[in-house]
Parts: sequence; structure tokens; C-alpha cells
Amino acid sequence: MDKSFISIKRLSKNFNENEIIKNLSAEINKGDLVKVSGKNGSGKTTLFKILCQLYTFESGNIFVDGKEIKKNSFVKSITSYCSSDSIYYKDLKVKNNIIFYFDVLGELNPNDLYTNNKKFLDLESFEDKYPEELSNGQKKRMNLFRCLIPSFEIYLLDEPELGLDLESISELSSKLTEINKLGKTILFSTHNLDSVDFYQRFKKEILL
Amino acid sequence: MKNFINILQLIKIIVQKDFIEEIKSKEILISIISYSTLVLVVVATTSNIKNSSEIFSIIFWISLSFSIILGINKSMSKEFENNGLEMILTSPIDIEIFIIAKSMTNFVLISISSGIILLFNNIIINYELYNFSFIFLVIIINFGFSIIGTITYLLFSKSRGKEILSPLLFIPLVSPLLMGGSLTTVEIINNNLESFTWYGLIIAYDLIFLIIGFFISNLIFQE
Repeated sequence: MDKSFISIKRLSKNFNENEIIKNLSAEINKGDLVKVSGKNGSGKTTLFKILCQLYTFESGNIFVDGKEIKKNSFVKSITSYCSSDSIYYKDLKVKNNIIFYFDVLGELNPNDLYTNNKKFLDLESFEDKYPEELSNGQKKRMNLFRCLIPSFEIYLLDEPELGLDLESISELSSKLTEINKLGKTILFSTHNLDSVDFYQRFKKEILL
Repeated sequence: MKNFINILQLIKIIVQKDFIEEIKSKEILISIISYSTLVLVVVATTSNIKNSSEIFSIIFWISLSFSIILGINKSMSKEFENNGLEMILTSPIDIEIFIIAKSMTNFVLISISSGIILLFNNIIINYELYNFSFIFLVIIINFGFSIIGTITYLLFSKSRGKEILSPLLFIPLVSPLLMGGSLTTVEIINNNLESFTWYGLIIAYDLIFLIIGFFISNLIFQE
């Protein structure tokens, strides 16, 4: 039985002939703040997508809370993945996109959860717009709101600060601090460690 | 029982999302209705379709199936535009539920379109087809179209030529439905419907693809 909350053992992932991740091992405890580092194309996004079960992998094992993720879909219910791209349905308004996601997560009161938090990242200022009408920064804020507001055990954040203005970065930093204080595990990737104050507190690093 | 209610609830959430999208864009209904009606108008003005139930029947089902490909492709491609599907794939929803929900959406949209196309048929060609046998036939064939269309699109969803490849697989797979539909339509028009064998075969065919969808669902999204 592993003591670590997330245990990655000799993980390898190929795309066609290219080996993106090779024999990666890491141990992450509950509540850890982990920086995932590496050059462009080193496999940071791939690792996040494996951890949230969007991708499968060729060899190795990953255990979350003692359960192997290949065999269990429970990981999806405790993991939030915030992609570096904006994810949305173009014919749904911002508000409807978010409430739809809260709905599929099984939130009991998705409307209340949205309404009570819509000041975060000033989402209420563009909640009735369609995503195609938004700037890249606003799309990013919509994405972060969707991933950070519901309660999860693990947060996988792929360059979350990219494209945000200073005010939003400060709000993001405060939100991540709040989440981490609750004992949640956060893995993040960034090419600009100084951009978010919160990043400076990382204790572990996975180098790809 | 609680699990079953949860599944129904999730299907409702996805179908509801699809309808909100369609109410805004109207892309699926317009593409199915306009293509199918256009084919019927062209055929009606250039042939003696009004005097031949066989020709009408074949043209009706072929134009409907081709226009349905357009509609289903549009409906499914919306999931992949801007990676919206990732919201569902990263949530704890079983992929089978997603397939059922999308098939349901496609089925309802196809059925609404078929009703409107039949109305145009009635006006243009003057075949009176608003009877139970024909409407039930359209419903069970549309159910098959929606399941097979959803599965074939998802099977090729990762490939570059999915818009070409999925119809290439769709048409051969729905040909038994087209055969049954055409033969039975002729019998209905001629008031000569003697047996319901085709109805049974079509329903069995629909169910087979529903089961196949469940079995291959986990392979579809593996990357």
C-alpha cells in the first residue's frame, strides 16, 4: 500500500514512434504544491492529460489514493484539469457553459454554486456573452472559473496564468492559496515562475 | 434505482445542452430539411415520381439518409469544436451515457426534420403518408440512423478525414434500413402492407447497433 497520495511509477507514453514521457516516477503527498517543469514538447500537458484520464499510457502505473487509475474512473470525480487552451461550446453563453459543466460533475445546486461565486475573476461582467465574443483573456478566466470553483482533491493547472491581466493573476493567486490551505493537491506548469506569487511556495518539482 | 435516475438525469443534461445550442444555431435542422427538400423538388420536377411509388420511396429514403449524414456530422462536430467534449470526458460520466445522449439528440432532431420533410412531400408530390404504419416506420429507421451515425462519427473522430470517412461507413451500415424502408413504403402507399416482418428486422438491427455502441465506447476515446 502506497503512502503517497499520487504515486507515479515508471510511466511511459508514446505518440506513434515518439516517446513523450519515458520512465517517469514521482511521489506526491496530499496537499503538496508541485511544479511540473520542462521544455516545450517535453510532455507536461501529456502528463496532466494522463492524470485526468484523457490519455492512456503504454507502461508503468499510477496510483491515486492507493487505487490504480487505469482500472478506476473515480479519479475523474476528484480531479480538475485546467487546460492551457480555452474549452467551451460556442453556442452556449458563458454562464450556460459553466452551469453545464457543474451539472455533469453532479453538483447538487449548480445554479447556486455559479451565482455565489460569479464575482471571482469578474465573470459576471460577461456571463451573458457567447464565448466567441470574448477576448482570449476572458476565455481564460471562464476556463479557470469552471475548473477552480467546484471542490476537487487534485487540481492540474496547465499554464493557468497565461493571457491574464495583473488583477486576474492576483485573484488567481489568492484562490490557489485558499485551495491549497484546504489541503488540496495542486500540480501546475508554467514558463514564468515569477508571474504568480503563489507559485513560489512549491515544494516539489517534476522535471520532464 | 437511484443509479438509473442519475443516468436519466445526465442524459437529460446533455440533451438539454444540445437543444439550447440548436435553438441558437439552427444548423442541424436547416441542413437536413433544406438538402432533403431540394432533392425531392428536383426529382419531382424532372421525373414521373408522382406516378411511381417505387421511385418515390427510393428517392425519399436516399435523400433523407444523405441529409441525415449532414445533420449528424454537424451535431457531432460541435462536440469537438473548441474541445467542448473535454468537459464531459474529464467529468465522471460514463462514455456510454454520452453516446446514448448524443443518439437521443440526433434522433429527436432527425425526427423533427423528417416530419417537416413529409409535410413538404405532401405538398409537392401529394402522397398521403400521415398514417401510423408509415410514421412508426420513419421513427424506427430514424432511431437506427441516429445510433449508427453517432457511432460512425465517433469511430473516425480522431482521424483527419472524418467528414468523408464517417459517411463512407454510414451508408453501407444503413443500407438494410434503407432496403426495409423502401420496400415497406411502397406497400404502405399501395395499401398493400401484409406483414410486419421488416419492422421486426429494423428494430432488431437498431438494437444490435445500440449494443455494439456500448461495447466499443471505451475504445472510441482512447488516445
